[in-house]
Amino acid sequence: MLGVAAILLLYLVLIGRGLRIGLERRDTFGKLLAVGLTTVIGLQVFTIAAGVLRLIPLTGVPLPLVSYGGTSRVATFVILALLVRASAGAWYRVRKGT
Amino acid sequence: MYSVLFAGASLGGWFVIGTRRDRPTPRSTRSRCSSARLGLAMLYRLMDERGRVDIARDQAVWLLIGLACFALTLVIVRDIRQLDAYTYTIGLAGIVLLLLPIVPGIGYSINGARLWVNFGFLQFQPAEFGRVLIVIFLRVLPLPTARAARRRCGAIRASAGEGPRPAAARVGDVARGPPARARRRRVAAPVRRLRRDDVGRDRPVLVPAARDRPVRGRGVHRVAGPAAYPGTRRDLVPRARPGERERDRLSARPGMVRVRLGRHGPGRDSVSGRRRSSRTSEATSSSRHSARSWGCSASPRSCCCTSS
Repeated sequence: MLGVAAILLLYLVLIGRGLRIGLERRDTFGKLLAVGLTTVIGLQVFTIAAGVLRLIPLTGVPLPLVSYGGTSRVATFVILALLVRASAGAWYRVRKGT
Repeated sequence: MYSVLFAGASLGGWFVIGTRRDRPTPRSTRSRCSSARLGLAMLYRLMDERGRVDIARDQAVWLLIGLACFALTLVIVRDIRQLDAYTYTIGLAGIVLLLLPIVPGIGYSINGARLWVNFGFLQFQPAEFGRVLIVIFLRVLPLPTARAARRRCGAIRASAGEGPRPAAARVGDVARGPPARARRRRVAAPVRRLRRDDVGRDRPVLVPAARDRPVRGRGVHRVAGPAAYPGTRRDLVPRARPGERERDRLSARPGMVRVRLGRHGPGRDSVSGRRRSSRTSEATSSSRHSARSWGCSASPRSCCCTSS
């Protein structure tokens, strides 16, 4: 129980971070990309979690970074790499005094 | 033993993220942390599965491959704006990947789901990658947010006959609104200096602030826009010039702002009223229609938003 909560919280942190990246980007493309990629991960997590909770029918969507299977994991890592790239760079918001 | 291996892999991933980022920003640190936490999430799961060693080993191998792809993506995509230039190519590739399992011979189905592709030496689900590519592609949709942004910011006039390599506008440069639109509305084109606030925007918001007076007469710097932008890859992300800080540069995608010399030469800088440095005016007077942006070296004093 506690473990499940911890894992879900980790996902929450990841998704929150991704949306945050999208919020802080100054350019439209960066915003769209960050939020889109985060949504992909978030929807997958939701599909699995809700399926386990019997909220919706359980479907064969892999839980990102946890499910068995290579392709999904590699794709998720690519998404994470893009998010990391989106979180840095000259087009990120510059705060006053930083 | 496996847990040690996995911990090593996670640490390796963390290290990769830590070393591969070229310009540190505060936010990247945080996303680094979230990625590392995800590494721990995987670790948890894999340790749980130690009962079946073969599966755990497979997963470990895939984890390493995934981390390698992570690093590879970071190396290839130095800036996500590189992807912006290949939107349609990426979208096409995504659709091809989605359709790949239908192709007889290489596509096959497991448990009734036709998702897999077998190339002999490797089997994978192309749809997983196709999904990522489609997400990148979806920016071509005329989303309301993008339209609203365009309406708010106006468009920057594109001027023809530019040089091969546009330079990015910088903080302190002067941006000018679209003359055609201004003529239509019978108002002066808004002109103002680019502020620190504009860094990263696709287009500067060209509503003159109270302290920004319009530029008249000599020394008008035009701002070039999308049409003048050559789409070559080298130009996508302009390098920082010596003495220029990365964060002082503006966006360099098509639609970037670029400051260009007006017809009459620099003359007096009519916004700040100060004379340009001798070096820049010399450079621009020699080549009147020089495409090189000579825009003033981002000087903090002319940038009204810098706090320090």
